[in-house]
Amino acid sequence: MNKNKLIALIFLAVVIIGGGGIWYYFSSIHKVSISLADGSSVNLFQIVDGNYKKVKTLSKSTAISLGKGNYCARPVDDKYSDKPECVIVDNKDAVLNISPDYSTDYLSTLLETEFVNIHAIIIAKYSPLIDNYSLAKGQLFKKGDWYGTTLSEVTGPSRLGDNYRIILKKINGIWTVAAKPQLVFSRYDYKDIPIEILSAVNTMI
Amino acid sequence: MDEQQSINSKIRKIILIVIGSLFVLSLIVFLITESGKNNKDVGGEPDVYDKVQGYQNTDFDISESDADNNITISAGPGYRNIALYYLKGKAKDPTNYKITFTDYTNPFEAYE
Repeated sequence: MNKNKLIALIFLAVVIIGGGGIWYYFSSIHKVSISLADGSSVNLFQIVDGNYKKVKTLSKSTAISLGKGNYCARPVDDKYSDKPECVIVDNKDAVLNISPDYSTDYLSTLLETEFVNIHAIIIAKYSPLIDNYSLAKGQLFKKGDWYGTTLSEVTGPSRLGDNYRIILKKINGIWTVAAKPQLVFSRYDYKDIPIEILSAVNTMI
Repeated sequence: MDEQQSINSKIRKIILIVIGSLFVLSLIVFLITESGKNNKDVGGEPDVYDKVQGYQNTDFDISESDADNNITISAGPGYRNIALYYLKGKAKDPTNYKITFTDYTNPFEAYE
């Protein structure tokens, strides 16, 4: 092999390897638009071999460039649920909307100031029938804008009573009945109510 | 002159080989990324849940669930909830079924 051929082959190899490398690098970097609910901060992690590797902390909506991989964001503040919101960055730009629900502890705190008002609304709507039922304290869900509880029929010792369930939603600051009292809520009948809320209220005792 | 033409010919061959190689490389990367897209699971939530086996005792009667997830429960006051607890005990979330109670009227229906 003469010198010219050798140089040509080396040049060819460098071009192919270099071109492939540049191609792979740019094809693996994508823009991820991250939408973050006002007032919340999140830690963004990359999932590597099942482990969370912190990428950065975000405190406002932004767009960042990320390599291919699985990414999850978890709220920093204890006020929010630590349930992660995740996105897979693959062959194209991606969007990650982060709107964390409140944590169970924070919802319990909120309930202390809400449930008297909510019960007053339920009692006013279903009076006088409601006098035959005992209202449990119930539970707030999501961002404190959903509420569910049980209404247990008060009966004498010789007869069992039925337990009903009710769901309310706070709309423009006003609690409104979203699902009137039922023995059980079916997902087929309440498509506007998150299934996890229907299921949680159905399991309330 | 012949020597110069020979060199030009070699350069043209090299350029053609480089361009051809880059084209083949691009094609391979494109095919790999496209096959990755096509192999993704479309996903989606099934609308058919675990079949509920019919059950009967002295307090309540639960029908077998049909293809549309309909279940009928026959029970008296108080025992309707016990029938629902029975389903939960069998790891069947009542939320996923259309449950009808026989000989039953919801007293809250009158309030609208």
